[in-house]
Amino acid sequence: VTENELRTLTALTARLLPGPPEDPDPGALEAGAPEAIDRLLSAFACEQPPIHAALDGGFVPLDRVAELGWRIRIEGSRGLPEREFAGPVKGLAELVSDGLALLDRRARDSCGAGFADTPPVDQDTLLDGADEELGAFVRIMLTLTLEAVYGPPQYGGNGDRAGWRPLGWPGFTQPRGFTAAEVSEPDTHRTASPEAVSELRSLVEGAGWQPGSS
Amino acid sequence: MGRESVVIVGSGAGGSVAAWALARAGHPVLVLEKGRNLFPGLGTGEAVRTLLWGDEVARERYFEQQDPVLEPRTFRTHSEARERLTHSFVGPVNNLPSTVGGGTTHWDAKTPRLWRQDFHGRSLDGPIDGANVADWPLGYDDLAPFYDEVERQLGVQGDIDQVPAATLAQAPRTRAFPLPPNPPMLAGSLLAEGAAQLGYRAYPSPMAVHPGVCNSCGFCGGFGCAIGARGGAITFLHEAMRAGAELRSRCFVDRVECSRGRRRALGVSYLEADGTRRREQADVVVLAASAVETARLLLLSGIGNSSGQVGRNLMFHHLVSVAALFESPVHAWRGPTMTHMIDDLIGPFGGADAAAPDLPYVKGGVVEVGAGIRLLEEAKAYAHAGLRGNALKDALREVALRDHLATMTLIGEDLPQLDNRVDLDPDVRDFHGVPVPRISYSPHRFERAAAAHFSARLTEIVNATDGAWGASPPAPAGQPRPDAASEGQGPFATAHVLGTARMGDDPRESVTDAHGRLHDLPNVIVADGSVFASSGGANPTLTIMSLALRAARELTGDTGRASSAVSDD
Repeated sequence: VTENELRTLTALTARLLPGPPEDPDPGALEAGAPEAIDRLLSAFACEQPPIHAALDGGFVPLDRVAELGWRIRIEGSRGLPEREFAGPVKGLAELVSDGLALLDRRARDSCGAGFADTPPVDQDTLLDGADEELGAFVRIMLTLTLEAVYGPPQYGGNGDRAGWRPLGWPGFTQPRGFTAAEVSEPDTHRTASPEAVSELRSLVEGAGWQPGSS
Repeated sequence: MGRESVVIVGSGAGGSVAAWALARAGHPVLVLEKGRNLFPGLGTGEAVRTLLWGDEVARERYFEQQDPVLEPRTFRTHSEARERLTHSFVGPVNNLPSTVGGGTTHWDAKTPRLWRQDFHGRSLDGPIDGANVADWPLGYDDLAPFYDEVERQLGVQGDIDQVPAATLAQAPRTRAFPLPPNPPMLAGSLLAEGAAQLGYRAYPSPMAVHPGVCNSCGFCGGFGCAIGARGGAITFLHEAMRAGAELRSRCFVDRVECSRGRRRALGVSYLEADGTRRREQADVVVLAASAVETARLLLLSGIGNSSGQVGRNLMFHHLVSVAALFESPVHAWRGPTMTHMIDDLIGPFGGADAAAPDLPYVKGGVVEVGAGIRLLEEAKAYAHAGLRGNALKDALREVALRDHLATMTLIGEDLPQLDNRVDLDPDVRDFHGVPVPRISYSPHRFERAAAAHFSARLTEIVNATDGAWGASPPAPAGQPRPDAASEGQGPFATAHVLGTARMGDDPRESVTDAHGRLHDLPNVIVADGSVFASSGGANPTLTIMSLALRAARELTGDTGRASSAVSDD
């Protein structure tokens, strides 16, 4: 993405997963999510396209077929016959670029400045009131941000395990794994507060889950 | 005279087992696989390595599944088909791994056997209006020695002393499980106590997970095992290649070539990654591309379909899931996906009991007890529920669903229906320019009734469990959609696909005989889930492998050979 787009993208991911001071734990910026998303969107400008991480660092090279699929997904079909067997495809890079432009337009319309130059409270208002078009873009960006921050650090958006550490999430623990006691017994150091249990209930039910009646 | 040469299409569960049995019996074997090979060292003198590991991002990026951008599938419901809609969805439908090793590259390796009654559904339970219920042309006892042999090669764990008597009566075992069970997962043990309150019995799930090697890292089902602690197709394929079988990956077979008059297959025609067309002659062609792709290949080739049944009777399993929410953390994400199984809800259950007055009975299936979710899945679930920002991070900290949630999932039997089918989409083509498979599917009222019935039973178990309460994810509104798979319920949430070339004795009503040979073209053998005449309520891979082994032994002439006569490696 362009420098200006990266500013907007950075500001957006900061609202999607904020860090200090408003949140105690590292957010998208601290974890390096905007840069990781930028690298994904320009995957084929990278020496190793950052699509599938290799465990020991670097990325698994795409073979000819996988590369075709990912070029179509990220770059779009660009009128190339070998990419348009199922019709024209708009690539993720263009979708994001269009979405960032839309977000900036909406910010200018309602706040008189680009999204990155709008105060956080107004940014949130804009995102909360998103129409279908903007909402669809924000959902894509939220998914990319979550994958960056809570996915494996190999992708670069969970730098120094900034997404995992505060949550106590161990990630991929090989070669250690878990002991029989860790699998079969309760952890002695962790219990849930009554507030958390009640929040769990309301969240699950708020998401449309049916409380069990039998 | 040399042994007949064999080309095998597909390197998953069925194809790899067939390759293993045939190559070791001296047949020249070539395996053609349309996906990539993610297993360096496969077929060499060295240990097999893998490029797959516990990566929650790669699995969303079609690392091992076929990429729907390149190879989409299409979908429509029965009512859309009646309205002559070509399709209502283009994208991933039942998107299994499509690499060397097939679905077993990321299975959680659960290996229940089918029950004796599953092979005789029509005779025992009778027909059901609107469904195409059939008996299999073989019974449990025909398959049992092959179950034994596959279990030993895979390395299946279990505890025969804890298997319920009803299960042993329906799926008798002549020997103990080759390996002892993994450490039981906490959530499963707690739910097992709840189940026991209601008279149900949870027991250690049979699975091809190797205790002592497996260290319960939690990245099991849906992930490649990074440390080689799981058996699968690769177990067989490695030995097959060491016995002389050749594997060519990224070779897409789009045609079985036949003699004039279509009485014999002569070989296959296929496309390499760059579109180069190649041909390979063979005395025998084995189709093991999985039920959707095998039906597609038969239809593309115009063979095997004098019965008109090719592509029909497509079955998924109908997943019924209930979440158990525990007040205290139960870390259900540690362990081999789940370690406890309940067989008490397989059925059949009579009409009144099942609250389905217009059905003579309903059937369920095995229940997988106590699987959890991981952090990224949890974060995405909150996003799906509309959270972002601080609220989402608060939920990850305070609610911590990953620590409190464990699922109970019933692998529900899906009845065969003539109109649940695979055919060729008239409009959409893959990147090779070949018509893609179109799936037409609607559940029968049998599956709807079963979902309601068994969802209530699973909820009872959860609510009988100390410190837990049950909740069901939102049911898909109206007809299930393939893109609703993430909601965890219904047919498209399963990785199981069966029944598009069913086996039977009568060539007018079935596609293959009891050994998987096409009635129309006996030197073509189907060796995957396509041949299932019913889905049963059990994870199908062990049965796919055992049927493939039986079909291969028919070809090698070692039919009925007791498994003890086959050497272990």
